[in-house]
Amino acid sequence: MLEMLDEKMLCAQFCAQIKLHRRDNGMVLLETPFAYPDGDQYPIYLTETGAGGLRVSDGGHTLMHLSYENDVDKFFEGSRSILLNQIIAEQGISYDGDSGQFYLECAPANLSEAAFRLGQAITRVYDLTFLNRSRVASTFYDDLQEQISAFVSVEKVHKNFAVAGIPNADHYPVDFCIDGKNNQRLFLFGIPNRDKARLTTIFLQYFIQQRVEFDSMLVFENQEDIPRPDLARLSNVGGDMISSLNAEDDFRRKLLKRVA
Amino acid sequence: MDGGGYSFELYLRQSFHNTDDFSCGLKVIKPDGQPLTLVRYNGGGHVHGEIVFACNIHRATYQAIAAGKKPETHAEETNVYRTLDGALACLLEDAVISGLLHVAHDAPNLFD
Repeated sequence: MLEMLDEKMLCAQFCAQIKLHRRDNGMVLLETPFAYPDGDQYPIYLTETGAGGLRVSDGGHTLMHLSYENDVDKFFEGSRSILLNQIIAEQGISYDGDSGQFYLECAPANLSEAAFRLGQAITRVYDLTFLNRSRVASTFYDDLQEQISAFVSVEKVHKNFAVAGIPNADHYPVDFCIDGKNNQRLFLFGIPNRDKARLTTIFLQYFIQQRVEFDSMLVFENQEDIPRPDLARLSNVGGDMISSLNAEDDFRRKLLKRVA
Repeated sequence: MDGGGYSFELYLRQSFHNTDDFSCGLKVIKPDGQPLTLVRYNGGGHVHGEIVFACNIHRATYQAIAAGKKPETHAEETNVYRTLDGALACLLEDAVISGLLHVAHDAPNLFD
């Protein structure tokens, strides 16, 4: 099969996916197979530079597309900003902060390479969404559940537990209710961020107000990331705390003390 | 807009670079913080499959979710609007959203 592959046929296949569009508004766009996850293809704009070359640009659409479901300011702060600059450097593209455009300039003879480089860069920029707090939080909960399962048998663990006998119990789900010693329930909450710390404080206060019998344990993704006032309020109503999933020995010891 | 732990956001986007590149969408923020785009009314600034530089409406579908794709992958070409305001008017009507400022539909294009 491999011997039958023909470069001309392959080139024709690649070329069939590349089209040049001259729009009524004077804009020239290059159509490529590069597409966002929702199927919208990357608009790649071509303009002439003063030096006789071409500017290949996303026209600011990458950030616009990201903004549908993300706060784009976050891409220019902290870890995301470091990664964004790394992508820009590695792909050899530029970013115009005034217009929000990713672009590069090339000679007409190098247009295909430039288009592929920009396409790859846009893909990498878009994939920074994998760092979204909610998605990272999801992996934290997965990791938390995995650790709990390593210490406690599955039948003792009730995920997203609604406390029976209290008003609006569905509005106050417990991340993990674990059957403890002497029929004492252990309410275990994962705390990946400040919002969840505040929410858990409200939940625990509500359970106390409703005279629910329970012990509680709070497992942080990184306790040092939680602002001190939020942590103080949570400490007042919560039970044992685990500073991070890295504190595996402490987590096991505290958990088994209540459950085994 | 908020209800039962779910909040809804209506957003508008207009490119400075290309007037044809605009969007207005409606998304729901689920209790776990994850957004889900329910509908998005796009301008004609890009290609989407067989839709070549024409306005198109994305809708979240069960089929896309079941297939593990982006929920709003499905898109259909439309000519019921040509501008961002027109797209917004259509979205508000289709999604039965009231209480916002009145937005007029685009006038019919006499050359269509």
